[in-house]
Amino acid sequence: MVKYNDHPLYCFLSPEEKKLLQTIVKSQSFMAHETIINLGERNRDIICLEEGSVSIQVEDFEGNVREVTRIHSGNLVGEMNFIIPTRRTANVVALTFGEADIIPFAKLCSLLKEYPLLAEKIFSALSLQLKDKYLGMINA
Amino acid sequence: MNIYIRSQDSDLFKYLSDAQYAQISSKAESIELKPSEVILEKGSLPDSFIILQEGELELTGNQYWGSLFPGEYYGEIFYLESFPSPLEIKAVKPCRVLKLKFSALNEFIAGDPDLAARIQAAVNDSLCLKIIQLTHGSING
Repeated sequence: MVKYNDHPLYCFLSPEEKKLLQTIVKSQSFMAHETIINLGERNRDIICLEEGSVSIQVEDFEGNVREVTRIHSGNLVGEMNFIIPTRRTANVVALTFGEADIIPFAKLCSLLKEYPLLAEKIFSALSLQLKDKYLGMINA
Repeated sequence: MNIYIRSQDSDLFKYLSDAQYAQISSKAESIELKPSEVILEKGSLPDSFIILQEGELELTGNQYWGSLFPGEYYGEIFYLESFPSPLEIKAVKPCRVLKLKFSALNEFIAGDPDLAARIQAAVNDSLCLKIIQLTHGSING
């Protein structure tokens, strides 16, 4: 499989395949301090952070907010939720102005069912992200 | 994964048909392990999936990183990129495992993107579950 670039989701896509995926992608801008994902939401969209940084935050039983990590441009948010059907497990709050590609869950599933080669490539890109996440935890 | 339905108990082959499962299983090597026997050494370069059929395997590195139970497997982090294993895999009980070389799997899925996508989806499911095990504290050393 040819790797065209280091994008976390589009890295294996040819220009034509990227164009096909772009038919369902929504671009979204956000301001600093804006909440992008709320804990508990059922939304399973994948968010590609193209510009800016976000804070991943969880709340304890008393409602105190704690930052778990920060995610910067060039990374994915919510990719595990795409794979495993759970509610959103954290709040995602913008730290800066940013821009993101939002890949809607239902539309992506339909597209991947219709185009198996696209599915193979998107799943492979997700696999690299998950592998890095797992290794990061093992090696921390 | 959202676009396929599970058809097999084996986590790696969960989205394959019975015929596909039988075909790919026949390319794997069956190995019996005694308790404490190591099937993958830390620092070695894995070239196979290790699929547990019976028994229990333990994942260790600088600490205990989890266990594998029948149907589960290890090797997904090396499937797309080769690097030394950060973990050692050892039998806790008498085990029967299948070793399936990445090259044999690649030969099996070559030219069939649907089959490749089904395997890759199963790999992602397994990676997610391993990450969740770590983040949700079920690995307690």
